[in-house]
Amino acid sequence: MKTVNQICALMLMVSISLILSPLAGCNTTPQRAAFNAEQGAQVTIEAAMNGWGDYVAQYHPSAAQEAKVKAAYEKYQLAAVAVLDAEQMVEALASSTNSPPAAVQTATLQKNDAEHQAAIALSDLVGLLRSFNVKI
Amino acid sequence: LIGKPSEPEIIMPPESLQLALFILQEFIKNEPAIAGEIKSLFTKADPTPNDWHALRARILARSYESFVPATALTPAPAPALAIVPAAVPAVIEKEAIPAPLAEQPVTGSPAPQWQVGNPALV
Repeated sequence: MKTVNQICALMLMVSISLILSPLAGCNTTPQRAAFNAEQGAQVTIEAAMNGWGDYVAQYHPSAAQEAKVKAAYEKYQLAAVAVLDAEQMVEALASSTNSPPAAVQTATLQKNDAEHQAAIALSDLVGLLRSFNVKI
Repeated sequence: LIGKPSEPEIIMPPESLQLALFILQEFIKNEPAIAGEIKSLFTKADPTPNDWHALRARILARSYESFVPATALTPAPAPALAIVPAAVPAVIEKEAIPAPLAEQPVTGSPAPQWQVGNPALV
């Protein structure tokens, strides 16, 4: 009964949050949005890689398959770190009062490029795991 | 003709749905505690540098092997830091060891003195 009550409470909270979102307004800053996106991507990757770990333990895929996944994962790791670094660079330049606009613009372009690369790496990794029928 | 029975269609008039949502909204407006909690979900503070560092560390901390303990891949070998001994004969005769440069006796003509440029002009 307690579980049912908890589920009902959770459903109520979700409904309320959906209804109240227009009332509360969307006050999320770009920094918070970027952080949430990176955090969400990391959670996705961890879940996917945990699924791959279970798959390897159960089905023992070939070393070539494992090497592909490992390379894709390490590529994503580097890309994700590059995004974080670029994000912090943009934030530091934007918050500084004497940053030349050109520097901010260049850093923003680099950040966008890093985000694009990370998105590709994430997509490649998830696609690769799905091609092996890994449950994600 | 045995087929899957058609599922009953549940149709809720839009007016009823709007009324239900309106009542719920009014209820929430009159409950400031709930409204505050939900509003806080949409107005989180900006991430601090510590938040960024923690996320960076979290990304870098998870190696492939930590996710896949049963991996058949051998981890990449670490760079060889140990000094590998060269093939040295077991017995080294004293004569075979050349003297260091500083201790070598000077024999023959002295080393040539290099001069840059035309000596007549210097």
